[in-house]
Amino acid sequence: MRLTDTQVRIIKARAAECFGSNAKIWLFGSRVDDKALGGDIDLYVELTEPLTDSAWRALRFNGALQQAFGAQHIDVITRGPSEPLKPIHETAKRSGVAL
Amino acid sequence: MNDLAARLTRVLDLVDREARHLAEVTQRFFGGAEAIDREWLERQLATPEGIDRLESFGAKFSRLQDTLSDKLLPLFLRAAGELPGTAVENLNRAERLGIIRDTQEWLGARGLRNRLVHEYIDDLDALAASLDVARRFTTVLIEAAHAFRGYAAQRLGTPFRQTP
Repeated sequence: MRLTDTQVRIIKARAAECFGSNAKIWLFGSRVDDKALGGDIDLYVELTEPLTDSAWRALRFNGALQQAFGAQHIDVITRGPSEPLKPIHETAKRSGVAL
Repeated sequence: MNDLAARLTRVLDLVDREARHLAEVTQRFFGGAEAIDREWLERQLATPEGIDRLESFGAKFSRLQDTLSDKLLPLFLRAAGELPGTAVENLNRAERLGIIRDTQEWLGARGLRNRLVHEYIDDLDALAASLDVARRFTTVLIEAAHAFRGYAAQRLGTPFRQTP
């Protein structure tokens, strides 16, 4: 996985602010590959309780990370507790790394 | 009026037009819809007019976002006597000046346009959620257009005109 400990700490802290402390986060995509270079930070966030405005919260979470990391390209996918598990969610969990 | 002020006035006029066009297409596309969900989106995509409105909304949303962030904001900072920096620095300065409300919202909204193109998004739930967020951010963009105009007229000596 190509994230520093500081980046992981920031991601978890901002996720707790935006989605609550029980949200689970996975890093997936090219940043999981230690041999790759650069690339977007793709994050999958699973919410354990229903939240209003989850898409707006995801936007703020994304912006908070860009502010911390310097306009890095970040993609955030969220799934609420009542949403069905879609292929993209399964892929993110299967191929990703839980943070 | 010096060259910088003249350029700022031209870009402010462009922002006024783009904000008006975005406000108009937002009204045409969303109307008074309360819930922007899959069912609502399926109804829009069932007609050529609905598809055209979706495309027009996405294009005008992106255009105003680009003009405000990439054209107006650096020029505005220069006119205010500051050196423009990175996108994050510029937005932070605009927030400190009270022009925008929240840098994080603006940064987070930068990737939104890629999620508004229905040819590429086969997940209609996700597209509807992105459209709902974009509708909300449209208000933020138009408020910022007003704020830029007001600040520039009061402190930078550009002509005051009423934005939509």
